Amino acid sequence: MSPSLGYNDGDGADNDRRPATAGQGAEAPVKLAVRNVNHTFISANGKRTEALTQVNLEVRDHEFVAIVGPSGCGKSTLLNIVSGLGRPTSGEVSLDGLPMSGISHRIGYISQVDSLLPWRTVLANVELGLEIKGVPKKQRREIARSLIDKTGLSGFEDSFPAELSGGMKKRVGIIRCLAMDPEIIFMDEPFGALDVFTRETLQDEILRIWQETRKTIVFVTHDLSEAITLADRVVLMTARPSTVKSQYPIPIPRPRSAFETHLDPQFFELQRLIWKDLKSEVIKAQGGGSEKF
Amino acid sequence: MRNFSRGEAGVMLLRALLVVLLAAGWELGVRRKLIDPFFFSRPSLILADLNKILVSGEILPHLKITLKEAFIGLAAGTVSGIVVAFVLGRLELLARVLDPIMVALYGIPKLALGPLFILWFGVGIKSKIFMSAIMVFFLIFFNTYAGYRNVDRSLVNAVRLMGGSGGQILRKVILPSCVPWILAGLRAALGASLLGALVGEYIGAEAGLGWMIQSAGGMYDTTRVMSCIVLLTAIMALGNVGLKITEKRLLKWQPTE
Repeated sequence: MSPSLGYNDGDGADNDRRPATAGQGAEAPVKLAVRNVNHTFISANGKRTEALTQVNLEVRDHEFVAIVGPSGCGKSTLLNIVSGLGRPTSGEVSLDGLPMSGISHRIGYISQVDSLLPWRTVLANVELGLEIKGVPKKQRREIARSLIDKTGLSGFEDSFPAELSGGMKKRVGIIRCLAMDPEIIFMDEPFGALDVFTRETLQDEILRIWQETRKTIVFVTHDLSEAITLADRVVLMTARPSTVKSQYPIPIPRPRSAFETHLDPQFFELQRLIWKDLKSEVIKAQGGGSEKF
Repeated sequence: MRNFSRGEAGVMLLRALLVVLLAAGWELGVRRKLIDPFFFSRPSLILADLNKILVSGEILPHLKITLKEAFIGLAAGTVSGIVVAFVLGRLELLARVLDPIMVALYGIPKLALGPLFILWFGVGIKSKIFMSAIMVFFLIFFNTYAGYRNVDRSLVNAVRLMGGSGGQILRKVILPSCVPWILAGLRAALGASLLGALVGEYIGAEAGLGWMIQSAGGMYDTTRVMSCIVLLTAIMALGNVGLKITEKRLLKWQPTE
């Protein structure tokens, strides 16, 4: 494996300033920029926890970026900040070059827990975002129905979330987000709680959606193989206080499928390469955390 | 499905049989002089009396007044309970200030307030409505407030991330999440609303089922007292059926098992 494959410079605050991938992202404009973001939690009893320190990250238009790191490393905190749910202690997030303040309808968010409204049917759940936006009923019904059909959920329009399997709920959550036609989608470990087979079919679904819509996607996961399977670029975060450790372009050709990608020789090489880098952080997160506090 | 409904019908049949058997035992007990009808009356007399007061219409104005008091009390107590719960849910500081006060107020036996209500609102319908409403209010308030506290934050966040306003979050997330809690409150409040009206009438009234029971009791007319009790039981049963149907409709999204 040639070392030129990954930019692996460890401690740089500006290790993201380089073009992401030669193929896809280099000429595309920067969609999302995270600059010098720090975030410290102060708990009720006054204990300070430094979650993020000097995080710098650029995501280009139409790029699929996966963020990987040991659990508890602040990946979700970072997503909350870039999605506008939380504000960083310091630093700046900009969208299309303009500083972001608060929640934007241009951003879609798919969370770890499926946050479908349990009293709404599948159809009504998919319509939710459009309803909030004030899209007329007929139009939003049309959009929702076509998305439901495309995802293989037809026949379940009138089912309630409690009647669906975990994988189906995730699908509904994904198309609920797509219905709003966001420019950029954040996904926070969306498939964490699912079994391997469901996971793989949903990964294929995400790959298909990206192929069709070319939306900018930022996907947070602690599963390295998932990150490699899906993304154009894998961003590695350190243990807490977390920062970007290194970034790896994933040159596996598209269109991809989860199954085929797992058999690609590049996949193994990349996994080996990134895992070596990630392992030390995982160990730090497991052992190092306790002695600090 | 079919099996289930047949099972349900069987249970209903057994239930009816049990009631008939108890009534028959009661009747027989009185006729065999095992039970003193002075204290307990007997089913055939009660049925005859019920028939009489219903056909003659003698009971209807009283029934109407009590139902009106209970119903207005239920509605007012429910609406105010929900509104106050939402306001306190929203204003956490106020909620913390009021919490022990609310609990203390809830602890007051409402019967003790009766004379005050009569003093304030007179012996007419208003004092009974107030009594009924105040009993309902606390039940609905505590339930709804617990529901508000239990709203799934991830649902609120999801709607916020879609650009939902405060009002939209209230209507689309918080209110529907509280519905099961409000319904649970209503189940208890249904009985409380009737109790409030009756207790109000016991303390001082010119009409109503409570007044009728009171005056019949004063004249040792056990049969009439029993007739009124049967009527009240029937009203409660009807109310509960109505509530069950409402629950089934509103909560059809909840998993059944």
